[in-house]
Amino acid sequence: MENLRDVFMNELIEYAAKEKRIVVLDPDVGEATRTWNFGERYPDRFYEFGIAEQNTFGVASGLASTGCIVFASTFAVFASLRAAEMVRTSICYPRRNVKVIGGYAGISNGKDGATHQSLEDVAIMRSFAGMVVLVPSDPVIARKLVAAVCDYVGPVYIRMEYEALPAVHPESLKFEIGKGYLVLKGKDVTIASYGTALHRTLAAAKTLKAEGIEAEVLDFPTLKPFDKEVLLKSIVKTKALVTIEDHSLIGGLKSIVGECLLDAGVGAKYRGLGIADIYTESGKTEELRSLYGIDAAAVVEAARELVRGN
Amino acid sequence: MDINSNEYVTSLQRKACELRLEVVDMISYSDIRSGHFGGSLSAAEIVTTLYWHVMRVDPKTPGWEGRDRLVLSKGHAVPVVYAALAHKGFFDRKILRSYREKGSILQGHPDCLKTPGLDTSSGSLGQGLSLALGMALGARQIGKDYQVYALLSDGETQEGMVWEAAMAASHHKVCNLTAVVDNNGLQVDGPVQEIMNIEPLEDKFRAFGWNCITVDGHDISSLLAAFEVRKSRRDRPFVIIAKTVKGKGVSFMENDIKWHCCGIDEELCNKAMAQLEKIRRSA
Repeated sequence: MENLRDVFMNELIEYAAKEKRIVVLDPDVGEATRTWNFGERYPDRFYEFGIAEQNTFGVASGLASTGCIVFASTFAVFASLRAAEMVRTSICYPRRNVKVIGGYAGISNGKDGATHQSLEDVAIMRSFAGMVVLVPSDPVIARKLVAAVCDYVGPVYIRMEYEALPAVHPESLKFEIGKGYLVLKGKDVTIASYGTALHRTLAAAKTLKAEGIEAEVLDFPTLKPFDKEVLLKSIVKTKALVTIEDHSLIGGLKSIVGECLLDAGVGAKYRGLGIADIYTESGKTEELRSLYGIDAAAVVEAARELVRGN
Repeated sequence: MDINSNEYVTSLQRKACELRLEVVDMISYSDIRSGHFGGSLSAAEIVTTLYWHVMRVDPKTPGWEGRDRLVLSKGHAVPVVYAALAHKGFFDRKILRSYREKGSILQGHPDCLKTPGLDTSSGSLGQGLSLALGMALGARQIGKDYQVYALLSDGETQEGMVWEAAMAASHHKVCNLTAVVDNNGLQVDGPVQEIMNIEPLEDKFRAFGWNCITVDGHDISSLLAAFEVRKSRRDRPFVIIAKTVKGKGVSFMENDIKWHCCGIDEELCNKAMAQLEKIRRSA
């Protein structure tokens, strides 16, 4: 079990030893995002900007224009909302090499309530032209995406849910931006997710298997550009799809697969699990997932309903 | 370059007039026939001083790593910068008349991916000082000694982000960043002091840890002197508040908010060009 933020930052620190162009910016959340650790190791490549996200992301653009690979890190809710225009107009429009890290995404910061839970960030970030949107689902991907985003020249949004999780993907995984991954083969229903929801999806698949339902599990660590082929291949086989996300049902994976299936002219029985059009409340993350119907039990129920029609 | 030589000052004054003529020409003779006159004309001497005296740039190598950089935070004033870039040789002067047209490299607001010589895209007010700060910090990261200049409008200092950047620049002891505020006193809806008073602007910048000087932004000698002061005071970020007149040089555009951004007919265009030409000849 490793927390995604630690895995990611440790790898970034390691990687930065040979990639000297990496610079990290922090608007007063360095302890939570672990950028402090980077600053401790590389004080000359770390800048603190205080509680000022707009400036932080504007500076990120300017720094990137000089050839630096800039990791600007804050909570997802602030990166996608407070600094949205800076990310769009000053980073994406001039195609700056800035990696926007949105921490405490989804309801992984359960206790702090709606102001700190980020349920719109995927919808916002993926709407910006040229923005790549990544979401690590386990420690393996959280580690491997560091090299991938450094190799990729251009703006990237990395959605990070802070949670301690076991590895799902094999250490041998060849992580590529733009690729969806088949995690578990099945034939009765496709369950697609991104981020930490993968772990609930796998738990659900286990329960379903005991009931005789074989679920195919897909993980989409890249939401944009989206791997349509992996999705369509699975849907053509199962003809039933459940999506689950720690995000609003508007603009996230539900929207992405909808766009994808419409474009392809492919239909499927469907259930979308996510946060309805509401503001969430404080609580333990697991409690909230049960409350909002994005836990493993909800996945089981949705899949069962699609397959058995009850 | 003797900044006290009349000849040198006059040559720059004349160049500013030429840029004004180009501004009116490019806006009037593009297919669109409208654009941002007022804030472009007020910044002509500032832009001239930057490009013909202060900044190290190489039109043959626009992306030269060691170049000085300009962030046009008041992006709407880009016609005067387009004129400067064309006159410096970054691209052909003939392109100027395609300003704001479909398919043009000269967008309505700066697009650095399209226009050679622009150091960044801009246009959403309030963001430029942060970008300039990032570029200034970049000099430390890549081991270069370039200077970064940011040209701000006075109205845009109403944006809180400007002060986030001002605070951070002095906090991080950024000494290669110079802001110039084109203090023409007008914003879209009216006089700055009536819409949202920004004064005392010098005191505000000083309180944020900047060195500050106020000059006549249409007087080349004063601008040259201000940049000399800047050279001698490299201990912190520096701001030049340049007192200017919106629409400067064209009698019917001066101090009239109507000419912030609008269309123009042939008659008024000819009148404007005649006035500017007269000023150029007498310079």
